[in-house]
Parts: sequence; C-alpha cells; structure tokens
Amino acid sequence: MFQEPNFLWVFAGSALLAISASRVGVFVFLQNKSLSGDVISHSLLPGMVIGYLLSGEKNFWLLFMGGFITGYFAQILTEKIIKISFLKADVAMAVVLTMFYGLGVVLLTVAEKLPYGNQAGLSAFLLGKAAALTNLDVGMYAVLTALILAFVKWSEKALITVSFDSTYAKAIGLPVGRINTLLTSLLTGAVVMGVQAVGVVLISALIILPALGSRLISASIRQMTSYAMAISLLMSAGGTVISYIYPKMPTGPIIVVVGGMLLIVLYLFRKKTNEKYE
Amino acid sequence: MDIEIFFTAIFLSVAASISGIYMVLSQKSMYGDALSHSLLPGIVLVFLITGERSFFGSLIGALFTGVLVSVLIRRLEGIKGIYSDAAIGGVFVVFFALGILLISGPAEGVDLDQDCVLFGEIAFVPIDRWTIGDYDVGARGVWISLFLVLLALTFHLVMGRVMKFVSFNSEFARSRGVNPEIWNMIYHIFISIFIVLSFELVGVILILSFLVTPIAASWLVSGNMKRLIFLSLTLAAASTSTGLVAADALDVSISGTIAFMQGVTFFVFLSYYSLAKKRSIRRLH
Repeated sequence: MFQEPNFLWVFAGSALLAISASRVGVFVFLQNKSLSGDVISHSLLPGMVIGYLLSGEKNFWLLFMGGFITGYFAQILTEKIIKISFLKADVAMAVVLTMFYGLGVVLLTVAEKLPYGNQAGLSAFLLGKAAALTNLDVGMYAVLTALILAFVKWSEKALITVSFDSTYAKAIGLPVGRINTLLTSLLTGAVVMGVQAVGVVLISALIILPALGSRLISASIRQMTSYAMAISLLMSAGGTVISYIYPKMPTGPIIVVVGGMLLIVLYLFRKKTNEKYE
Repeated sequence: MDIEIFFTAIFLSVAASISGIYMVLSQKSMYGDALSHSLLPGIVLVFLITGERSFFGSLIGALFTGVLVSVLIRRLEGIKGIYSDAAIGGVFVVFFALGILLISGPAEGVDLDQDCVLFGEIAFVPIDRWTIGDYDVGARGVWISLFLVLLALTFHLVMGRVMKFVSFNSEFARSRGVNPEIWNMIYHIFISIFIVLSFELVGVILILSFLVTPIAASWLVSGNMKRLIFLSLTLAAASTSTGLVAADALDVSISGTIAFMQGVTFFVFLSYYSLAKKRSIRRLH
C-alpha cells in the first residue's frame, strides 16, 4: 500500500488539509466561532461558480479566488448583522449561509446550461473528490498550507491573546480588528482549499473536530495546538488507509467518521480536572 | 409555473415560519442546520432495517436521531471549556459523514444522494403522485406540506405558551417548575419530524432558510409575538412567491432562488431597521 503512488498523494493531500484546518481551527474554537467554517464553506459556492463561469474551466486558482472572495464577504456580512442589530451569531450565520448557498445553487444551474463541456463534474467537484487527489493538487495544497502555517506562526502570540480575551488585547493596544481579519482570511483560505477535497459539509469537520477533541485532553494552549495537529493527522491517516482497503468508501466521510470515533475515545479519557471548577 | 409546486412551496414556508420561531427566539438557529444534516443516517438506517423507505419509517428515524443529536450536543456543551458552536458542529458533521458512508456502502439502493439532500429540487414535486386506489389525488409534496402546516399549527396552539416561556427565559421557566430541557427536547423532535418530511422536497438548506430567515427579518421590526408571527408568515409567503416567479422567468433552480430571495428580504429589513435606529438616535439628541 505504501508503494502505491496514488495512496501516497491522497494521504499527503488530506494530511496537508487537516494540518492547516486544525491549526486555524484551534483559534476559531477558542473564539466560539467554530460554525463560521460551515458558513464559509457554504458561501463560497457562488464565488467558485463565478470563477468557473469566467474561465470556462476548473482552474484551481480561479475557483480558489472566487470562493475566497464570497466566503470572506459572507463572514463580513455575518459580523455586520451582529454588530448593527440585536440578533445573535446563530441567526446571522443561518441567514447568510442559506442566502449565499441559494445564490450558488442558482448560478450552478446557469453554469449547467452553458454550452462548454465539462461542467457536469462541477457539483461533484463541490461535494469532494478526496480519492482523486493528484500530485498537482498536493503541490498547491503544500504551498497554501505553508502560507497558512507561516501566517499563524507570525501572529501566534497576538492570535492567542485575542482569542482568549479580546478586551484585554484591546487594552494592551493590539490591533484586534486586524488580527480578526487575519484569522478570518486564514479560516477562509483553509476552507476554500479543503472544500474541493472533502466537500461543503465535511470540511467543517476538519476545522472543528481536532480542536474539540484536543480541548478535552489538553490543559494549555500549546498542548491544545499540538494535540489538535496529532488528531488531524490520525484522522487523515485512518481515513485514507480505510478507504484504500475498501475502495468503495469515499475518503472524505471516512476521515470524518474516524475523527468522530477519536472524539468518543478522547471523551472517555478526558481530563476530569478541567471540569472540577464547574 | 406548476400550481402544485407553488402550493408546496407556500405551504412549506408558512409551516416553517410557524415552527422555527422558538429556535430563532432562543438563539439556537444553527440547531436547525445541525438537525437537518444529522437526520441522514437515521433515515438510511431505518431503510436498511426495513428494506424500504416509508413515511413512518422516516418518522421513527427522525425521532431517534433527533433525540440522540440533542442529547449528544447537550452532553458536549456541558463539559467545561467546550463551546456550543463546536459541540453543535462536531456532532452534526460526524452524523452527516456517517450518513454519506451508509449511502455509498451498505445502503446503496436507497434513493437518496448527497446532491439531493443538500440541494433538493422542488421542480420534481409534480412527478411524485399520491394515488388512492386508481384515483390521482395530487402531488404527494402538496399533501405533505399541507400536513406540515396543520402539524405546525397544532404544535403552536398546544405548546406555544410553554415554548414561549421556555425560549424567552429558561431560568425563569425553571424557577416555575417547568423543565426547559424536556421542552427543548420535544421541540427538537418536532423540528426533526418537520425536516425529515420536507427535506426531499426542497433540500435541507432551503428548509433552514424557511425556518430562520423570515422570522429573523420580522423580529427586527416587530415588538410583540403576535406581530412577529403575522409578519413572518407574510414575508415567507411573499418572498417564496417572488422567488418562484423569478426562478420561472430565469429558468434556474427554484430552491436556490427562494433561499436567495429570503436572504434579500432579510437585508432589506435590516437596512430599514438600521436606518430607523439611526433616526431615533438623532431624534434623541
């Protein structure tokens, strides 16, 4: 199995996705914004379809840019709703998510009617194709993952401070707004990159599950980050191996189900000391 | 435009804006998203056990998964350090993935796919007929959505008072001997039943939009519950009909257009709200 080049590409691709998603996911988790990954993943549909309509082909970077723009815009709109009205994050997220996804579906039907050829694959493309990752995809994932990790490393201290206590961060003069913008961009980047491999719904899993699982057993942010990374690697390794053995099973969902099982194990072995102060 | 599609959409939007109100008011809108995605494995499991997809099978699957999902989310939320967003998201993605796995593996014959669950296609409503004996009484979707209107009305009339109590102030409810957890559970079961009966008609995303958006828009401008309900019913019906007409004219996805129209309506109300707020502040000065 380990000599099989295809297996290695799929594993490398999903591991890269999992690493960048979990790295960003920890900060998103700490800000109680885990579901914004879900909002972004649904909202990038219209942008990706527009990117496709403009170029007439499934160019990775054009789709990436299109998805990034609408996903980011959706996130801004969500925050705007919360800011100017009394509505809370949950309502804002549901409204924005459904609106953008609706628009995306409409554009998708437009794209399907256009004369040029390979559009039929577009919806399959958006539902994930992890088992079909090629060395080209993996190369691009590597570039993007390196970028995301570098940005996180560069701003890690500030990100941690803002995530734990944004009032304090503001008081000591950190540019909270700009740091949040950075986090949103990183999250959007990770989501747009992953959505083509595991699909609209399951990319949220790569953001949420590692952070959630590591929170159960960790006592410090440093531990949480490294455990999250380990969990995400285990998920992608388990998922690719199982789907290699049972080729009928799609890789993306298996990765997520492996993550769910890990979560159960971690729940049973969770640090009980954390709960004592409840 | 097909009259059966029109009635299905209108009935569903009306039923949903009666049903979703407590979810929005108690700030748990994303539960709708979570429940709608998590119901998939339940439906597929019932299909695997009984060998067919039936009305009551789906209901039982929905009941079971709805309860399980809400218990799991509550359990996770209860742990110190775990936020509600992560708990909701963590549970529903695993359930959804399980559902997809079941569909692509053991339950291959079930006529459901990820596409259909997510997008739905209301244009297919007239194809699925309901016949009694040899007599064709109409599209099944129309009857299901009409049933959902009645179900939602019944729920509202029977449990509306206590649900209002629980969703506005659960602490107060608890102090008066009403256990909010039990009522929330009953409500989640009700929403699960709603979703399981309707998601194949329009897709889970439009269901979420029906359940949340018109209510959120009317909440911005209405001061009491009665006005909120009337306005959201009106908005739901209005944006659904405009969505239907627009989709018909442009020949694009009906579900998508309606979801988008609902969002646009919300933002119209939001800008009205923010203008009104600014004006009232200016008046104060």
